[in-house]
Amino acid sequence: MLYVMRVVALPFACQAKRCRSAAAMFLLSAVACVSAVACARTGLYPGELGDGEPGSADASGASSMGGVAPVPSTPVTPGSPSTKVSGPAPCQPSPETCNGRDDDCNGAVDDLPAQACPGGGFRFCVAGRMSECPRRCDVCVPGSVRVCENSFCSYWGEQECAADGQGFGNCKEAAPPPECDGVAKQHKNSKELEQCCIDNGYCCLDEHDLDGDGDRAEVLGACGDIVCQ
Amino acid sequence: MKNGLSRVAALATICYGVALAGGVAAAPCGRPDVDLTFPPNQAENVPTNAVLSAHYAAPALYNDEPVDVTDADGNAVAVTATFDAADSTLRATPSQELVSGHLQIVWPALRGVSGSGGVGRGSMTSVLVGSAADEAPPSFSGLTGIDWDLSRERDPCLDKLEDRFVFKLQVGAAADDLATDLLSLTIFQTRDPSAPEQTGPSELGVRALPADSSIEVRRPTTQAGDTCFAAVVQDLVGNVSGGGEREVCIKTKKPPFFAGCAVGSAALGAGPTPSGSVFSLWLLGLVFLRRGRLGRQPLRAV
Repeated sequence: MLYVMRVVALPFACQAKRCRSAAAMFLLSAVACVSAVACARTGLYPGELGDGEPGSADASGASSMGGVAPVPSTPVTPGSPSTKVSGPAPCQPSPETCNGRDDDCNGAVDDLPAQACPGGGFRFCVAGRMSECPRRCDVCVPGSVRVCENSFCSYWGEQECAADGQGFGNCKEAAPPPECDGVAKQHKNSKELEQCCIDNGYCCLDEHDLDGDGDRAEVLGACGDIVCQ
Repeated sequence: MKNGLSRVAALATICYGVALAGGVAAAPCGRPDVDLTFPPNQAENVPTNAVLSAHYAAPALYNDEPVDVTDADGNAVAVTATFDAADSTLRATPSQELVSGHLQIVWPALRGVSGSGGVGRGSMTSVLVGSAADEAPPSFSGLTGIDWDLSRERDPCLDKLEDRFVFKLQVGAAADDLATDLLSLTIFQTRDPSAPEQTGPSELGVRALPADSSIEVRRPTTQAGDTCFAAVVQDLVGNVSGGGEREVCIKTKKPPFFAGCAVGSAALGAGPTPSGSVFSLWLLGLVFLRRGRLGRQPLRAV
C-alpha cells in the first residue's frame, strides 16, 4: 500500500518541482496507474516477488511438498463434550524405517545407514523414501557423441553431450561414414539410415522408433560410452 | 642484477598465475580430473579409521591404478583401492588403523569414458592423522533455504551458451565427533519437474560441507516447476546423518521470464508481473523530463 501511495504521489511531487513536460507527466501518471493496478491485482510489491521469479525464496520445510502436511488449527471449546485436551502421545519405539518418522524414538528421523547398490554407489533415506541408486551421469557422459539425422545436405549429424552431462547439444551436420553414404543419398532421413547407423557400430538417436517402443528420444546401438547406466 | 632477477621472478609468477587462472576458467570437456578428496588437502585430526576417497569430475575408467599412501617417514601404507563407477569415486581403505602423523596420498589420473575426455588429472593431498577414531554418526539439521536463478554459460563441450537453473541451497548446521571440515554433503533432488513420476530421490552428487553454509546446484531448464532438494552428510567412516527428511522446495519458471506488458492477464505467481513495463515507462518518462530540462537551457555562445 505504501508503495502504491508513493508511486501515485510521485507525479504530484514532480509537479511541485515545476516539471512542466506534459509528456513526462503523462508517462509517469501511466506508470502510477499501472503500478497501482498491478499491485492491487497481484498483491506483489517490489522486494516481495512471488514464487517462480528468480531471486524469490519460496523455501519450505518438510511440510511443503511430499512431506507431512501442516495440521490445520481447530478451535477448541472448553467444556465441550467432544473436546479432549491432551499432550502428545508417548513415542512407542519400533525399528527405524525410512518413512519420515522417528520410529525408534531416539530423537532423529530416518537415521538409517546407507544401503549399497548392486551397480555401485549407495542409497540413502531422504524425504521419507530411499533414494534411487546413483548413475554415473545425468543424461549422457560429458563429451560423448551420438549420431542424429537431419534434413540438410548429408542427412547425417552428430550431437555432443554437454560438459555437465545434463543434455545433448544441437544436431550438427557431418559427413556420413562411407558405409552409410549410399544409404543417406538414396533414403535421406529415414529408417534405413538409422538402421545403417546402428549396424555399423554407432550410438544412434532412435528418431524413427526402430524398436517400436514409442520412445524417439532414446538411443540405440553401441551406446555403452554415452548412456549413464 | 638483483633487480633483473626479481623482475624475472615477478614475470614468472604472473605467467604462472595467468596459466593457472586459464586452467581453471577453461573447464575441460569430459575430462575426469580429481575435483574433490576426502579428507581434503591439509586436513587435520583425520580419524584413525578413515576411509580415503577421491571424486572424479567425469565418468572414468579404472584399470587398477594404485593409490599411493605414504607416512611421514616415506613408508608405504597398505590400502585396498576400489573404484565406484556409479559415483565416480575411488576409495582407498587402509588395511589397518592409520597411525597418528602426516600422511601423503597420491590419487591416480584416470582415463575418461568418452573419447574426448582423455586422461584426467590426479591429485596429491597431505593430511594429518589424529589419535582418535570416528565413532558417532554426524548430526545435520538439513537444508534450510533455497533460491534460484537462471545462468547462461558457455559449455566447453558444445562451445555454445547453455541455460541452467541455478539453485542456491542453504545448508543447516552439522556436527560430528571430529571436525566438520571432514564431512561430505550428499545432495538429492526429491522433486523434479522433468520427472514427475520419479520413484525416489535422485542423487545429484557429493560436495565438501560448505564453510559459508551455501551451495549451488545446476539443473537443466528442459522443464520448469516444483523442484525440491534434500541432503545428508557423511563422515569419513561412512556414517550417515539425519536431516535428509527436510526438503526445501521452490517453483521455477522457464525462460524468458518477461513476456511483455501483461497488465490484465497474469495471475498471481503464474505469469509475468508488469515490473518490466513499469520500469520501461519510468525510464521513458525520465528521458522526456531530461530532454525537457535541456531544452529550456539557454544556448551557449560558441
